Amino acid sequence: ERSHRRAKRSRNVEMEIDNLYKAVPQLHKVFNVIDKIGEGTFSAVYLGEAKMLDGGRERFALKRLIPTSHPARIAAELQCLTIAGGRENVMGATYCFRREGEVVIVMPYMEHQPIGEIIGLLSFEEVRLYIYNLLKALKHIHQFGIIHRDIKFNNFLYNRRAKMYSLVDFGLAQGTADTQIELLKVVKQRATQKAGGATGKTDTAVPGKKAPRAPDTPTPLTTTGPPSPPQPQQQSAAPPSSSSSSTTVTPTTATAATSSPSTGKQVARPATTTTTTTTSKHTKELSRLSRTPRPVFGERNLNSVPSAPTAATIITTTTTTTTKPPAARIELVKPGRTEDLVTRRVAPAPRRPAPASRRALPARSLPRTSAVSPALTCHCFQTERVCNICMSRKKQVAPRAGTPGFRAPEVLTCCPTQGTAIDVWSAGVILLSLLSNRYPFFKGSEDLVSLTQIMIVRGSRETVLAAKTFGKAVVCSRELPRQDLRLLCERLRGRRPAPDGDEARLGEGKEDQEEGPRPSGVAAAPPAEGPRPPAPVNDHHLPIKKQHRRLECTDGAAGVPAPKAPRLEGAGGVWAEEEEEEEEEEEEQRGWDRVPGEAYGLLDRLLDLNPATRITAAEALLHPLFTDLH
Amino acid sequence: KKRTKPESKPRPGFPKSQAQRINTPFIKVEDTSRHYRPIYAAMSKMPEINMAIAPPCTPFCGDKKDQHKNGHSEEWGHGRAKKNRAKKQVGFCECCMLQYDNLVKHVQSESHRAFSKGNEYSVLDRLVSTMHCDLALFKPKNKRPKCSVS
Ligand SMILES: Nc1ncnc2c1ncn2[C@@H]1O[C@H](COP(=O)(O)OP(=O)(O)O)[C@@H](O)[C@H]1O
Ligand SMILES: [Mg+2]
Ligand SMILES: [Mg+2]
Ligand SMILES: [Zn+2]
Ligand SMILES: [Zn+2]
Repeated sequence: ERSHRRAKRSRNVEMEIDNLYKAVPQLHKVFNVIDKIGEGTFSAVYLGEAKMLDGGRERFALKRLIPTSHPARIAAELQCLTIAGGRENVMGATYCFRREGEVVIVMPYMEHQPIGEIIGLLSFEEVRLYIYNLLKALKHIHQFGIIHRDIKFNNFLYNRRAKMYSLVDFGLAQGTADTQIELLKVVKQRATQKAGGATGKTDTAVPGKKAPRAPDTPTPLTTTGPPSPPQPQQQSAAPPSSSSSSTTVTPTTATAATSSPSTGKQVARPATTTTTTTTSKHTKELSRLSRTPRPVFGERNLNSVPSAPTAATIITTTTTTTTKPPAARIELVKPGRTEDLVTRRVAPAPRRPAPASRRALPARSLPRTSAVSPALTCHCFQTERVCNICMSRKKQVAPRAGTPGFRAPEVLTCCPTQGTAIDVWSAGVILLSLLSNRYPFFKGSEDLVSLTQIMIVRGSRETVLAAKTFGKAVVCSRELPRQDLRLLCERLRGRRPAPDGDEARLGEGKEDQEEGPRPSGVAAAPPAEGPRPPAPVNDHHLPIKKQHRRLECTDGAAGVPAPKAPRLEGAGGVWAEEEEEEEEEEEEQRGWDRVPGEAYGLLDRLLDLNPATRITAAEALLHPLFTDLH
Repeated sequence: KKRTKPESKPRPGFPKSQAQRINTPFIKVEDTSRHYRPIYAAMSKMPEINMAIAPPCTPFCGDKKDQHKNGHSEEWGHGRAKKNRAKKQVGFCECCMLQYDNLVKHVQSESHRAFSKGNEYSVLDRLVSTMHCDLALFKPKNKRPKCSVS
């Protein structure tokens, strides 16, 4: 197999492997690097083989980090792997090699299949086990006080045949207030007014500062529109063209970074004071503050700094612990650097004490109108308006790292207190994807578009109410009714006819609860863009899957750009009746005809819009859906 | 093109604020403290679930821009790797805290080299020194493992 792989690998990969050996020459002595496995935004991963001390041979994944990663970030990633990893479906680390700024993390290799290739083949039972094993990994890391922040298919390796699962990629992890991962405590994350803004690419929407857009973009979309704030230095250089796309690329640290060019012309600010304090004091202070009705430590600092030029979200400052000698103190901040403030990498509010207090409203939600300076008061709050008063306020900064489509509502709304519940939300998106056979499910790349998509599924009223509990006022120009999760998933899977006409497009207004074919009308509404011939009327009497396929075929014929994801086999041709029936039988064999209500019940709890009441990973493992697995 | 149009009458008794109506459909989020700038998005149309899109594609028939952007997502696998690689030249260096246009050039720059040769990595080295390594040398001359970090 090895020689086969070697024969297959491209010139490019050969060069990259050479490059890897050059960057970290020690690898030569230990590994035979066979192939490249993957490439993320901040790393490239290779397959290597090594001889072990006991004489055996083993395969490893070699993760070469981009050399612009801060050593404290890398160390935190490694420590998550070494302390929490190696069990409970969490990847462990074997070793780590470094030469100067080049770092390679060595992990046991786990063969896996990309979900996009197999999602349509999975049985319900496989989906149930998949989500169970993901929740197991989450429970485990959450016990260590690790917020992963980037839960998604690509970071949960799945070997379908061997039924193996492994959570990887702690590159964006943050610690909870009481995290056991020392390096997550120590590291603070630098966030800046601009970079931490809820959209992360607000700079592209500042009038006159629009980032280059794709020429075929008919859709104007502003994330922060006029009037522009009177902060000329904030609208410095036009962002590099990558900024418009970076929001779709995985971790936000990158997004923030690329979308907020450091200008060099920034007003010099005093060097950030390095906070040095003891861990226990921190923890105490954090838990105390989280119970008092004022913003939490760190975040207060963060958001009370007047708006100013920005750089990017990045690790910066430092604390030290009593358990370590002064030498252990890490100074990440260069004195004299122009920068904004600093926030703890630690997520402030400890999330789960007793259920009662969990349900209590977070401190931030208390109205504090009295604290607003009259000069800054306007009448736009909770209306469809904005004015130069509210728009000239400073931006709120909150952690945002992660992947579009998997971000929880509290992340999308720029809520500064975020906890392990954000990972649970992402697990819910994964389950939604698997139950509905849609990947990706949410595809908005702008935070507020993502939020709208969430509202379409979960309801706008529900979203508004939940957001209130974490201190956010959400206004949506249209009421979007909440969807019944089973109906939604079954329709999307093609197991149930979609409602006719306009109502086929959910989110248009009222939800159609009626099932079965309708007497008149076209099969399904064409998407608003592009001409598309209506489907033949008699398609009504066919199962919905057939309607889908017909439509898809028509798509191709009409030259409408086809979706980029893998298509059903055979799409583009006419479907034979027999083939149809076979497919349906297969579906039934895979258990999709008898999905228990508990599956949707769990989905509903994972996708709880309110992080305080959202089910925890530990609780989810005890859900009735998993009774036989306990 | 303007997304918002000015409202004619500012409310009396308050500082003159040029309120603008956000074009619909829109979504607006504001911290209830009212200490921070609202964020909002005016969309050309409301996103919607389109049942006519066959699985396993996303049911959100986004606008073309979204479709376009979607291509960058690593979720789509290796098809876009080349494009990504080109993009990846531009980025932000967490070590030097600056934006770079060319990754390779930046890594060779004086500031970056100074950083990478400095003792900033001691936190990582200390951690690695606590790890037990059972990798053997590939061509062992001395039978001892040689797993140093630097
Ligand atoms: N231990 C491993 N075994 C096999 N493949 C791995 C392993 N770790 C990572 N990979 C592959 O490499 C990809 C990128 O790794 P990841 O740690 O997620 O890097 P990034 O931070 O760049 O996303 C993963 O999606 C997976 O396909
Ligand atoms: Mg990853
Ligand atoms: Mg990562
Ligand atoms: Zn206002
Ligand atoms: Zn650098």
